[in-house]
Amino acid sequence: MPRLRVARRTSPPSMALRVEAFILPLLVVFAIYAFLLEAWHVSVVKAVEIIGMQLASGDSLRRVFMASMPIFFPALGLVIAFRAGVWNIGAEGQLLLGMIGATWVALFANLGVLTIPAMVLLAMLLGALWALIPGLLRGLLGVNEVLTTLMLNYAAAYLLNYLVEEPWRDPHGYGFIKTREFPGRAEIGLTGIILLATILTVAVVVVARYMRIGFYMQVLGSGFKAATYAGASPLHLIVASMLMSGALAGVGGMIVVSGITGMLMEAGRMSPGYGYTAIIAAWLAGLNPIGVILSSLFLGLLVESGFALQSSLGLNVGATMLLEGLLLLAAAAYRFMEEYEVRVEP
Amino acid sequence: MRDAVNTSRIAVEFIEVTKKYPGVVANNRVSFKVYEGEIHGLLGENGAGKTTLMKILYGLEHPDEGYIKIYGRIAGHRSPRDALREGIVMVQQYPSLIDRLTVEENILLELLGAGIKLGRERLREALRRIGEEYGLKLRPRAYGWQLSMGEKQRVELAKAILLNARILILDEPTTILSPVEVESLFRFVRRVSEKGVTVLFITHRLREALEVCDRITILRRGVVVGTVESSEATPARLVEMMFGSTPPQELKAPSTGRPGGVVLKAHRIWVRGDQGAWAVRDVSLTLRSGEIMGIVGVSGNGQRELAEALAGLRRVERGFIEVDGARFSRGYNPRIALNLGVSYIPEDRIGVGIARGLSVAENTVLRDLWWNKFVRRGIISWGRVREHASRIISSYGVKAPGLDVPVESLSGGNIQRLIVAREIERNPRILVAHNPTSGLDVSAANKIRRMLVEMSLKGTGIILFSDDLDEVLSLSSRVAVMYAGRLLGPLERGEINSRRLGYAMASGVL
Repeated sequence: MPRLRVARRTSPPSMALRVEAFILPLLVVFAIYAFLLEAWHVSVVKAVEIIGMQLASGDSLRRVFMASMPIFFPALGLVIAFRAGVWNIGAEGQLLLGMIGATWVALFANLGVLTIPAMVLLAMLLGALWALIPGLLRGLLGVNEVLTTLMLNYAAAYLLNYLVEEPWRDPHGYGFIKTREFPGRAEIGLTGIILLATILTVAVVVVARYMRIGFYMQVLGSGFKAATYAGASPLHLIVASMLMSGALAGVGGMIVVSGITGMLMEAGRMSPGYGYTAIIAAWLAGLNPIGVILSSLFLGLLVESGFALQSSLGLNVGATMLLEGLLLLAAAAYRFMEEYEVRVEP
Repeated sequence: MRDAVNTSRIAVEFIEVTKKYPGVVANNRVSFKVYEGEIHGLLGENGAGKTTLMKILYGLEHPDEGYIKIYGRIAGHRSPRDALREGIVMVQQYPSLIDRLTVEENILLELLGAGIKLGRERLREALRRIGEEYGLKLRPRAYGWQLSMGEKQRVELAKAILLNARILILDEPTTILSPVEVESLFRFVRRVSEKGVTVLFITHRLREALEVCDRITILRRGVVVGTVESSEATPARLVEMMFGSTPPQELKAPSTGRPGGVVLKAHRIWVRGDQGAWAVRDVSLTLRSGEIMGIVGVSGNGQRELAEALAGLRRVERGFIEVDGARFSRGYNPRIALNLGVSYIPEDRIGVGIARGLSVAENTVLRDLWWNKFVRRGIISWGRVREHASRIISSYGVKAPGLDVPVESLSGGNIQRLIVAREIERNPRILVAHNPTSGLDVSAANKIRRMLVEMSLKGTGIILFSDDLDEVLSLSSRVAVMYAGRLLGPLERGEINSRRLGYAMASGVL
């Protein structure tokens, strides 16, 4: 009987093979999804049309861009953490903490033109602190960070809900559970977001590629013992990568409150799971900080199209998440094909 | 021989078994017989082919030529599961249980895999009986993670009984045991053999082989040197069989001038192994600048842990290390060691010596970005790194398709060259080298040996841990032997020869 044999590649795959390994899983994913759409009695042609419409007008392009930014910033941070082999699944919670920090500045501090920088800074600080907890637990005690970061996402959501329901709730909001609307000085514009994205992308590239700490984080990602041997402290590297990814996730939260909603509402209404989608964006980009720009825009397009498909074709909310999940599998398949080759043996 | 040995029945017979790996013949036409109920020792130094031979018997490896007879029938088993059907069970050197399951559950799982269904109650009863009958102390309800290595081994032994083993292979079973546990293991082994179980006992320790085995087969470089009865064997004769009767090789180290001041000192250090047991026990040593000190021993006697402790990778629990006059009883780490001029060529080149996901160029500076040579104002100069990398690659003959390919795509020998090059290029004051030439061809190995000598002439103090006795003899000015975590010697020039070292490696007596 012929057997499939999986073996580690002895030589790195060629560029052509890489492209193939990237495109092929994506095509399979799209084929599966097209099949599912048909099964749900949704016309694939119409769906493609609607997705195309998102790119047609300046207004919808702007919406796609805005939807991609809360994915982009956390994904940028996750690139750092994942390269270090630190599995931060908590970008969602760190993003919510960023919202809390930014909202506090917007509502309770009158800093004039410094309001937006202060919102960014406090969002980064709170996001980083939220990530520090699992970072220390992992670094000092070896507690698995996948579990702790994931659990802290729920804690963050409850903390945020408490704040909007009780102390920060808008007394004049009728029945709505929300804070006051932000003053104009606390609303970030398109230029501000692009500026912030540029600065932070450059910063991440510099840290990841040109600084000692980024180098040793990558060493840590290839092995704990190798990092120790190299003279680095795994504890410091784990904590630092958690802090950085938490801070960047916090920025994502700041963008949501300051650029999209202009107020804080319950967690479920503030984020459709940006922090989780960011995980997919990071992997889809092959943990490359520049690639994250593209993957985030792509996922932003999917999220926006998902809303449009829901309203026009009656597609379920879960359908978009399903596609995101399939994309993560495609990214995983690509990583696998990069490292292993599959041979059929008679 | 003991009454338990039934010389009229042959349980296992190896017939002309040959197993080749690329570049090595692990077993070369191995033939010998093992009687039913016999405790048969398999003695030899590292790489003699003991473990490969037992893996063949256990079905993990398949011979290229020759075959094995089990109770007179040619064995056709191709896997450990098949082997089990023949009644062959092997207890690995480092037994592993599933941490989150209890001892009982671990055993039940294994029995289930072998098609034996047993209820918990009946298993408990059986374990109680085995405990009494064979003197195995077990804690059936303890979890895997709560067990010491010795306890895990006892679980494996109990499992072998439950699996109705007829032929029991024990791979270096005493390395993980305390002296008291060794005694009870020996009692167990004698007891099972009285019940007709044939035991194959892999070891490199002479005393143990002589104490527990009925007969001993000695392997050297894949060839059977002979089979002797323990009652008629002497340690001296066994050593000669293990290491060969060639005239004892004298130390032929080049004159390294007068060694200078002390650069590295260990004072009564104790270091734990990965499993938490003491791997280095009360070791003291002194290294002078400009000398090469050899440390030999059968691998697994604490060399790796000692080397790691000297390089800062492993915590020293008691005692202290002094580098260039700076004394550390704690707080010593690889970074401090690097700063004090300690280079380290680790034994495990893939797991420790390189960062697997990174490129060749990045790996040439794996431990060198701490200084400003490659980093300006906090920014790594990849241009300088690449220059450095291409110089290393050409002058040390590292064969790599490029600087940016993943280091993992290089062959083992080339990875080894890269590591050696990186550690030597730093011009260290102290070099801890563990098997620096392993996996290299003769000319590459000799080139590295010459480099070590040149370094020592320039004043570097070198500690050379090596499994290659000839290498150590040809380079070192002093040689110490590691045995069961302790350091014997060092012997000075003129006192050393290969036979004496071989004897010490196998017996623990210098």
